[in-house]
Amino acid sequence: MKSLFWKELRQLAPWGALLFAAMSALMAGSLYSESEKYYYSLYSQAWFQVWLVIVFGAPCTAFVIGVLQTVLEVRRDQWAFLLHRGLSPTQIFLTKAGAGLAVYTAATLVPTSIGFTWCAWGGIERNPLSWYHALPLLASFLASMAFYFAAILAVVWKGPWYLSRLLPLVAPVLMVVGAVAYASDVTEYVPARIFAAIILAVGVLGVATWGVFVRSGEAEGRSRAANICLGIPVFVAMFGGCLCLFAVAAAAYELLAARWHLHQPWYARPYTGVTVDRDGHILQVTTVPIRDSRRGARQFQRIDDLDEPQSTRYAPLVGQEMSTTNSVPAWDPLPMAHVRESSQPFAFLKRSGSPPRILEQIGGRAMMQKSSLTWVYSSADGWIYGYLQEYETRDDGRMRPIPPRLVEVVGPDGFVSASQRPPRRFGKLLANTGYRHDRLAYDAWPELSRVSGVAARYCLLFEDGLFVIDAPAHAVRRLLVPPAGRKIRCLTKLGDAVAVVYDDSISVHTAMPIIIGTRQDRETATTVDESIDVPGDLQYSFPIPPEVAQFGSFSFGRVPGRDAMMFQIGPDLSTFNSNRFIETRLDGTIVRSRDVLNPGIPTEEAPPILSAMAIFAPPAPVLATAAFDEFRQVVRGTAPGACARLFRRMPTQMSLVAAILIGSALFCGWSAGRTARRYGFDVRTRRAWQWTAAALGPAALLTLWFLRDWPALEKCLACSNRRPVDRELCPHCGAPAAPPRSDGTEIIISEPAHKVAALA
Amino acid sequence: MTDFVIRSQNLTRYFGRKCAVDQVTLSVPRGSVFAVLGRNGSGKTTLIRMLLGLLSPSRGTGEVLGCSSAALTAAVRSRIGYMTESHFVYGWMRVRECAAFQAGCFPRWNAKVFNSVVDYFGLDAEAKAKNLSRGERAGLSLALMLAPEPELLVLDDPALGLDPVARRALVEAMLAVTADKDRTILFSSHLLDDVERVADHVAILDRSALRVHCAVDDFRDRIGRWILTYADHPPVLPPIRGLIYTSVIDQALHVTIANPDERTQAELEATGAATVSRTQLSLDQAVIDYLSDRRQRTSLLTAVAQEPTLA
Repeated sequence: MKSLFWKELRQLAPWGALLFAAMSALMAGSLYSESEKYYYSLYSQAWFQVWLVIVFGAPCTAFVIGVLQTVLEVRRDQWAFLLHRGLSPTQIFLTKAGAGLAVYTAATLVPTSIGFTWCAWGGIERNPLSWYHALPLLASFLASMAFYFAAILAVVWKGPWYLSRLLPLVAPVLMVVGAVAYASDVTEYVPARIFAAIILAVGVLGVATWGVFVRSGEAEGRSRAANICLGIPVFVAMFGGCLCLFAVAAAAYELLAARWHLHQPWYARPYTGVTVDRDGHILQVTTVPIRDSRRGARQFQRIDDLDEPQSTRYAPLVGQEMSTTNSVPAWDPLPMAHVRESSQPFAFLKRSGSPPRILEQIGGRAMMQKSSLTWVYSSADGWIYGYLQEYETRDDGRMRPIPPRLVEVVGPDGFVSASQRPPRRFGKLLANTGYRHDRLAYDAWPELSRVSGVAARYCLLFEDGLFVIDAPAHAVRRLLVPPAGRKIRCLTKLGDAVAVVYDDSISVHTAMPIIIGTRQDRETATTVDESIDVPGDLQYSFPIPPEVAQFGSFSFGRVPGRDAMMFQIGPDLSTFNSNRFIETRLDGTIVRSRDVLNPGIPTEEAPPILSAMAIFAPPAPVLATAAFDEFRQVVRGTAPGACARLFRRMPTQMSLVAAILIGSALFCGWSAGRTARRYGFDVRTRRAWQWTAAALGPAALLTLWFLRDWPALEKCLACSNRRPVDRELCPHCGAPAAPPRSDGTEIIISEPAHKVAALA
Repeated sequence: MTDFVIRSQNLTRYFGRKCAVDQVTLSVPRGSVFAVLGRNGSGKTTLIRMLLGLLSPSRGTGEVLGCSSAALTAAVRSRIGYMTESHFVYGWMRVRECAAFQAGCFPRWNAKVFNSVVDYFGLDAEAKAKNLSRGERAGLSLALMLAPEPELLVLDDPALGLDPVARRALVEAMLAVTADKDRTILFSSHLLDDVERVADHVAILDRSALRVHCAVDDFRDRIGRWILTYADHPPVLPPIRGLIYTSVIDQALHVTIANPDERTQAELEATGAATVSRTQLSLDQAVIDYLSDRRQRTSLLTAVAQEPTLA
């Protein structure tokens, strides 16, 4: 094995050196070019460039190495020379893969490590760099290994047609995109389970590649484990393909329907939402866009009081324009405050209470001023770092940034100089007024849209308190301290009051304005103070019932007439597209709980998109989810479930959807069984494919069709059916294949052979 | 009972709809030199690759050195020497590096054997494989194949493209190998004089099917040629059992028949021939006649001469 390993390394060395040089050049070039971009946002730090290089460079490198290692040897005689030696094909594969991954590691991880270490050492810009920053790099590096195996599969695997060899590439692409999206949108603190998932996915592709390699790419004799592992990426590709097909079909349907006026275009359709009024009544409100309205205004089409169906209270509003603030006369919805787990799109992948991003920007950078201070919070350190950004004027008169300088560090106890570190650290940062893309901050301080960009003081909400960082005065003031043993979850506006949301309770305070900056009024040419509201005196507090606390996001409001709290959860995946309303007394006792399906587009206007989706959907998971929801709702006493309610509301369309779903399952199961019978699969394999295709739908059926190079079919001389050429016996009649035609000129004088196991 | 090193049962391989090897059942006795003959595309290479487990058969099974072809273990593979028709070696390796590379993968590597073969072919140990001539590369391949001291040698058209001197060296090497009675050689070739010189068993593949599988002497005995003379122009022959080839030379009809018996002479005389005499065929002639196109059963020149417009 050693000699084969060295041979592989020798063979790959020139290519590896080339790839190493390319990665190094890319790294050096991107880091060098970064020196002109100090004034960019938080991501301008050099580390981001290192990450970008590995995100794009590592998959390309892995793919190129995988192709180079096999494409030169896959030709008939080379392949025979490689495989025919005193090593098992598995040993040969492991040796090759070991050498290939070693070269991949050297070509990608070495330049990346150098770049990262350089950034950690100081780099161009002295932004705080934590060793946690290495986690996204590691995740990208590991995820890109999948490209190595996918490349070998693309070369060695004999798929049913040439382009099908590219199918295993889809899964690595999704993996890398997922890893990148996770690190860029959720958090750079990539948890162990994400690494485990990446390693598992790479392992699946590795096993598939092993199975294909040792059988020289042919399906015959491939192990069951390898078949399953090859089936997974092919299924992923097929499922993705089905989704794309659906999207294209839906888009085409929309275009054609609009062109031929089959129904109203999506933007002109009525929409039904659910809300609560000040009496605590749940209302179902249907609005419709006003034709030719350039403002996109809508008007009330229908308002149903679900708690008092006979009520005609809102009848006068029908036909009236609904302004964007919902403040037409007699329209009186309950003011609700919003609690969000996170504003990040992949937040559902993150456990509640997991660390935030490593670096949070506090305050925007002033571009091209003579000098400016940039504040960056490092959650790894728990301190805020202040960098002085200065510019110099070039000979041509243009200003050029020079590397920023760390001048101050801020902790809960105040400011210290760059050479010192504060004695205590901040906790998890929840919201800050200095970063204009922070949605949680906008929930807490809606007035930020007015004051953003003019702030000289920053208001920062941490789990352990609300702080005001007064940079000009070099002071840190703590405005709110959570009760002992409690952590703040978020701050939100409830009408004119400010609500502090803890894990298990909510405190409502009066709003206390504090000045965070000044701006110049252009009309009056005077200086105007800009303020935001922070919690003042405590008005009342109430517990969050566990039925609500389990959800990351919800809304709440106080019903004035009944002195009760109304919580609204959903509609989203966690509530199966339902709005869940839970009404409690101020002591937390639940008065009532009601689930209202989010109708969205009403029955009569709903397009047949749902039916189209049912064609491609995997039937078993859909049906299992519906059954689970029904079971859960029965257990909770809120039956019927979402599907049953949909059936009641839209019986025709839902029947069609169910029929398509069941029809799709039956067709896929039947078709898989027919294919399996036609090609003489054994009963166990045939049944496995039948059930899999029935359960997972068209994607599974396509996976079966694309998983192997199918043998030709020839006419059986015994039964006249078409039989696969790779079966000893005809699957239809059990007859053996016809022997070659004899013409009496054969000369066969072979000595009798004794029976051995292989031939028995 | 004979000990067989290679056996196959109904070995079949399709490439798409094309049947490359059709239900080949053969057995190669230990210590024999077994030649696989056939025209281009008759399935020789495919058969060898299936036997060595480098290609999965569509149907049937193979067995080499007591181990199923589909699952040849590393230990069994190290007992088999295999030379491909292109004499492939990594071009970037030097001759000595090739030896070091192979030595690491074969436990019974004998450097003396390698060096003696390399010396015989006059190869420079420092020469890069890509700079070797075809004959020299064949010599290097032979050295790499023989050095692990295999029990079974499988050579796929080893003399393809070699000059006569290199061919002779190759044949001599094969003869030297078979001096050890336990060693078996399976080779395919188009060079019938080489086959006649070294082979004791022969298999002929014709249009994917195994047509001949016997000892070389048996094959010679089973192919007979008769010369029929007629008073007039030779007539079109009626159907004769085992007829594989006819040609007209100097008004005499030369007829090649497989598996002749005591009735063959009578059948030929019944065609109205003035004289019917049998001649001895060399292996070369026998194989060429045997592999001629059965649909025509006549030589190209005879067919042209019988065309009315040209006659």
